[in-house]
Amino acid sequence: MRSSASGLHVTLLACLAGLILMSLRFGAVPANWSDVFEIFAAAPGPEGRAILELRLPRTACAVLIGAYLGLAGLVFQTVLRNPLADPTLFGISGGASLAVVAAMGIATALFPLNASYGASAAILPTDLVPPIALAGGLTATALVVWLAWQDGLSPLRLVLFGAVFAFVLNGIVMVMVMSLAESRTELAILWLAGSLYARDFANFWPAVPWGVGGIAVIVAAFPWLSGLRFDAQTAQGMGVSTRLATPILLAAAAGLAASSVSVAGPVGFVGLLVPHMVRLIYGAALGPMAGGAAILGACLVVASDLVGRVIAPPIEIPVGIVTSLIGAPIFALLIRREIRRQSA
Amino acid sequence: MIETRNLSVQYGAKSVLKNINIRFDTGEITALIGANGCGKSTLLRMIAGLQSPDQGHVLLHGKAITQHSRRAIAREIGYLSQSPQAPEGVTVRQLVEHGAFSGTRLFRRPAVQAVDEVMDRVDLLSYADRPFDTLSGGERQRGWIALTLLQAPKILLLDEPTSFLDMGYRIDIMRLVEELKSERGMGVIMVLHDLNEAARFADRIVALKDGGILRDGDKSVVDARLPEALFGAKVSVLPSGDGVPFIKPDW
Repeated sequence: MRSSASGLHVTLLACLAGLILMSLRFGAVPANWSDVFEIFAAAPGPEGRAILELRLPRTACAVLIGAYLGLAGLVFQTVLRNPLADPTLFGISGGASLAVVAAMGIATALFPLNASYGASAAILPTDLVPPIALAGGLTATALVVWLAWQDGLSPLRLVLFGAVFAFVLNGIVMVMVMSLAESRTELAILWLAGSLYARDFANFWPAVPWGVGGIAVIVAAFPWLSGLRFDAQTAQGMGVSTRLATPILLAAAAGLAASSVSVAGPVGFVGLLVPHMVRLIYGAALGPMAGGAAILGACLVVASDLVGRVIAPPIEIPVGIVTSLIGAPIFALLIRREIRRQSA
Repeated sequence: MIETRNLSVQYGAKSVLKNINIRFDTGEITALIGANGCGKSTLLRMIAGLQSPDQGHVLLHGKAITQHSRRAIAREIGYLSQSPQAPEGVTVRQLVEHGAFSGTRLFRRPAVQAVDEVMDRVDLLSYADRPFDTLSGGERQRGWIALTLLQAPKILLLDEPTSFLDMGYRIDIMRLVEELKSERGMGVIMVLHDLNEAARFADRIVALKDGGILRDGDKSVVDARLPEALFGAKVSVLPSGDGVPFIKPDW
């Protein structure tokens, strides 16, 4: 069992390595394989420098948010014992979106268009977007937890309040987007679609500590996570303190999801789809599933970003749209397969 | 080892348990009997520390159960609910391994030998790598018992362990319970509906009615009047030859 899980990890890591190389090689600006490997040279040429400065940080961001979303999705679905749970359900994406769009609205009202800022944030400094998104996502999660808390956290209450809250937040975001000036609406929609356009290491590094912290908590609380797969009474009977374990693990997953939203905006379907895929690949062993969810999530986002860049250059399709377009049919196929398996 | 002091619980306006004072020890099989909704499962959950009473206390080794950590409680008390739910797709071994959570240090996997030993004890070792959800009801019940055995508890709490099982599996589970008591000196507290099962396998029978303890004693508690008092059912008591009363409903 262990050796087969290691073999699957190695296979997925090899896929990820291949996708990373392709992500560095292909894009709007033509480059060849020698340009890709030139990034290791002391003085790379113009193509090598473009790869180093543009595609490498963007790909690093894709790996990071894919791994975060895959792992966060697995934790959400496990803790809530709900196969439809994902970061969007908790208001993490909605809260981050609301915070960023509200900040765009405030910036529009306070400051005239400032050409010195980056293209994706002509109305809001780029370096302000991640912390605002992070704060919005975590605040929304805290509100959902507060609403659902009644002598502890029940998965059903959390899912119901999370769904209601997400709908409300999305409605408010839509109203705010429509109230922005036309030129700003486009930028807001680009961010809301989940895009890695112009992301650099300044976006990447602030999200790293959240990942390290979140993953450390999940690893330390891993026996709890495994116990929470059972019904609450059975889990408690075997010694799992569900009152402690549930909020701690949800906070860790929310931190991962919110920091990924802070890098690229809300990227849909990764947190929902990846846990189902790893269940199919790894079976029911949670440890290998967790590692697999991180690697597969990274594969999915890197591949989606690559597809979005190469399908109709120089136009880019935001990664969030590609993950939804790829993820929805795969998810539908998985559900059909599961229905057939259960009725067999 | 476990005792309750003035334990009272209300669900809305309905008083389910009223001032229950009772003590349970190891080396004894106790059957909790009574009509549906009389508070048997509630009492069992409170003894396991899974539900807080409105009034009163549960004491484990003389100390309020709320002052013990969940892991510490799990090392003393194994609890099996009426319909536990297993994670989808787990094998028998993966399920049983979870019983080691309370006694295993962080990042340590439970010893394979210990897992094999409890699976062997419930005759499931040959099924170790089979998906748990492909087992029959009786085999699954034995799998759950193996999980709790890995906790090495001193007292095992079983909520209707023979419900939904055919006669062969019911006898199988009850014999297993008897063997666990005699081999390991464990105490077992079971919620049972079948008075004959209670009379045959339990050392002590506690009958609950109207939130209180109607009777508490050995097999002789089960007589012709008890079913009428508990369920309003008319029965006859037939001689069985070995001193254990056999209840036959007057259909």
